[in-house]
Amino acid sequence: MRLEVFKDYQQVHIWTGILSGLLLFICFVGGAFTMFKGPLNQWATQTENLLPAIEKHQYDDLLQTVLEHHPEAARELTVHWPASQPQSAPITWHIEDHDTHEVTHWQASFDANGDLLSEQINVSAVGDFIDKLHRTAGIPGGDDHDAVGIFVMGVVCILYFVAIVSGLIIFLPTWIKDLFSLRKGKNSRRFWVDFHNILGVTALPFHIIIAVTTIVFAYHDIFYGSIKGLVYQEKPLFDRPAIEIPNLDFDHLVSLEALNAAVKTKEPEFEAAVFRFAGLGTPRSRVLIGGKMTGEWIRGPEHAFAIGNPYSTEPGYTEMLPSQAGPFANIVTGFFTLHFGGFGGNFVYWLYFALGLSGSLLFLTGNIIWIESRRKKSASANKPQQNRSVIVLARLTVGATLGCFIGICIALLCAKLIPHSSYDIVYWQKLGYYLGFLGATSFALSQVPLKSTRILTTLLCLLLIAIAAVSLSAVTNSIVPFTEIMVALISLVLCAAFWLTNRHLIKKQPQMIADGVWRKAEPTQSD
Amino acid sequence: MSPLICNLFGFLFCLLASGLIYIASPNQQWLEQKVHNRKLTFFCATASLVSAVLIFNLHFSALSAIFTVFTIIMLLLSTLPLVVRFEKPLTNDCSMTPWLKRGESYKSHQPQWWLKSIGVFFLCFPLAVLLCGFLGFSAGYAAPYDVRSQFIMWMITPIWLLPISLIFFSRRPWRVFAIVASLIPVFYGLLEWIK
Repeated sequence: MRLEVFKDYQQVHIWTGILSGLLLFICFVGGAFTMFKGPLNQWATQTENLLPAIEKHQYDDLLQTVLEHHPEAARELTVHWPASQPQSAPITWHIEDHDTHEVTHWQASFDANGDLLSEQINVSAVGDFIDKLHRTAGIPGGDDHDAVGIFVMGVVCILYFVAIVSGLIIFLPTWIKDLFSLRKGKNSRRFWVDFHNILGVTALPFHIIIAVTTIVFAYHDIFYGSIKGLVYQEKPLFDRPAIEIPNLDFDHLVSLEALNAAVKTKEPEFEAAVFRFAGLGTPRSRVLIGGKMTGEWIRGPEHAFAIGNPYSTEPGYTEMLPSQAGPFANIVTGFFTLHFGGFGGNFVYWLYFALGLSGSLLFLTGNIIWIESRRKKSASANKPQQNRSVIVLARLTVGATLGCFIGICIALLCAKLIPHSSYDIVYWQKLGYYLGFLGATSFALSQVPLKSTRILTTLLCLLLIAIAAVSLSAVTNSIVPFTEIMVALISLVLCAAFWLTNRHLIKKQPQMIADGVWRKAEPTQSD
Repeated sequence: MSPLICNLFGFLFCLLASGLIYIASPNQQWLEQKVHNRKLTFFCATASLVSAVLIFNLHFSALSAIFTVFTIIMLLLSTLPLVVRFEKPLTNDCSMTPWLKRGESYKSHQPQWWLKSIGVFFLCFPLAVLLCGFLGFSAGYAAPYDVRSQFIMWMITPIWLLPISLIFFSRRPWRVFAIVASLIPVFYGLLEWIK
């Protein structure tokens, strides 16, 4: 390889990494917690918002009753079958105001006498909030599908892909000498480069998949538009014939058991968990049926999907099901399932949780390497004048990374402690996150990194202990006691990790050069 | 065997394989003596991985089992090297033929960051769309109609981004742009023919 090409790729890797690193850190941390979106939503559900569970044979009656009393629910409604329990209610729906885009949530069940119980509720869905954080890096603006943050992350992931390839190119010349090496010594930069290489090279396939899939998630509409213009032109992109529905009355809806059975004719292992109805009573009626299929190559994060006609027992569109998918469909499904980690149930969720957190360290170590390589070492008795960019990035790295964790912890505490029935919990958990994140970042920008790291990690440990305490105290009354215990356990493990980091920094402090980057520059004798 | 036991044994076989791969590497920090028979070590690691796949396959589909093993290996290989035994790292005496060569072009080299990145960013996108369209339509009836559209859409990104990542190898970006620009009508014609 020509030396000039190597140096060019070093610069490409540095700049693409610096520009994308902190946003990707937030996305990876958010993504790690998103692996448990469903359990976190259940964890945040407060008992006063629960409606009674019903028997399987009552679901069809409940659906008809809800549509009769709340015809607005026909627009979009979700039925949560027993396989998806525990949920706050068997049927939920939301109404969106087209002018203000405010969403109100409703849920319904039967009481002990078989009468309809329906109510508007505030839903925390803190798991969904963390998922949105994961998809947007917390950048506000836009609606769910067209969020500004998603478009920004598309650009960031283009830089991320280029950073991955350029990183591999600059690693290749010394790969035999450097693979798996971890050299601790006086040269701290060497240690961080080795650590960064280990994280990057060993999880290379994972990072490539995440980069490619995120770009597609962000820009698939643009890609489909380009394909339509250049490739398909006058032909349609999709070949789904319009469904003929002779009678659109709600009482002509087929039973949920019949819908499930229709899918099972194509996929015997399929067991429906959720039915998402849309456009009921209109020619565009459809139902998205999600079923749990642990260990299969599925399209969704938790469920395999089939799309059907709620007025017919025809199986509908089943090409997304594992046994129906040909090689091309498996490739397409593969992109989804390798991003979501849905191919192995809870076991793979935990692996992806760990990969998400370790992946976030890749971006942190990249920033540290850049700072260490540009930190001007103090020479003799002179106080080195550090570049402003080095100082700012060091402080921003501390603030953004720890601020992300602090913000998530505060959001979780808000979801658990603030009464949902009295407060707009979505607003408060969002406020909690941004206060934590922006507060930590602002604080870190005003202090030397060593001091701010110790204070912020101490704060983070306290928040994690609080989450553990709140979770454990809720075990007896919770709909998901096992999840409460696991949340407490993970909080304590993370607390231990941050506490050990804090202790390590205290131990290393005397050895850290006081040159104004990590530690305050000490006055020289001449001062 | 219950899924929990399967997952546990599968994980343990992956742990064994990762450990073997690590100690066979020149930079391992676990054994004072380097492993002499690397081929045997890699063979044992491969056997462990295959065993892990077979164990996971008891409850997972074949694809899921393979990718579960990949995922575990990625995770373990990124963490095992952090567990070091020696205070002073053992030296790696592997010698490598130098890959980097400083030639005559070094002094006159210009990176041309913006020209290369912007040029290939815009030119390779329509080429990627047309190439993916050609690949998708070449599949014929092997790909159902809907699936073909999705497949074409998904393949755009890797085909588009690879040239963007590799353009900095080129000394003459305008030549690359000319080649890409001339390929666009070629693939457009091929696509029209195959449709």
